[in-house]
Amino acid sequence: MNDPFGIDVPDSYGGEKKETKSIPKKENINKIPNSTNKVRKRLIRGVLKGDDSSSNQ
Amino acid sequence: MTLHQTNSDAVERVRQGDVFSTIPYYESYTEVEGEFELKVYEFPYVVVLTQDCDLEQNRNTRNKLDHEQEVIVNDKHLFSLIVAPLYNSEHLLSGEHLTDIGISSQRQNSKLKPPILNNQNPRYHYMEFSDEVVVPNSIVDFKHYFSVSLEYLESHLDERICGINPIYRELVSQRFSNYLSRIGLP
Repeated sequence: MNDPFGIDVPDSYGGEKKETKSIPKKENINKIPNSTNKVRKRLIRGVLKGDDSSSNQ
Repeated sequence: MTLHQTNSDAVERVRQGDVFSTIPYYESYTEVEGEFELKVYEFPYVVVLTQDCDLEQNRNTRNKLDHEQEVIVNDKHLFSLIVAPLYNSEHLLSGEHLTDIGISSQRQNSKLKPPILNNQNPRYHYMEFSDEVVVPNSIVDFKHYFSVSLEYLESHLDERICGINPIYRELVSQRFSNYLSRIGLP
């Protein structure tokens, strides 16, 4: 069986069910999927200071 | 194969395979009648894909430069580095990794998931990290990459989460370049 975590665990071995150790899932709270670690967009608006904007044209 | 060994060495320069957090991509900057608008995407995690020898040579050359000379001879100069976003694998597989910016993607069904998770789909690279690394299982979509200035990353080395170790980082880089240079036959 192909485990989604990349560990190949055969369903059976030598005609008998092979006992396999399950690998504990990661418990690190930072690894838990949540909406805070998605790409986000920011709009930053402001006013230009001085006359630089007009002098550049 | 999918567990990518990493290091958290103290580094004095940016390296290929470094994973940084909270990296901005500046989409556009406009000025209209004395006001400006900056559109920024903020990526939770990115991985550096630029060749490490280029980064090393750049650093070595800069260390030898005589900045008092009027014209600086430096043929190893780098303006920017290529980085690729690391998407939370569960978000990408469910097609929801870009929903916060108003983009929905294809949900990967049970037939499409295994090739992605086994790195057999050329477009994607799946990575797992050890428990010490606070990065979730991630997928790089090789259609998504951008550049970040070297100066920005060097001034944000504290945002470096870890470095993907040699061999693993070269694997990512090689798969990226293979995908980028693919030939689309009619």
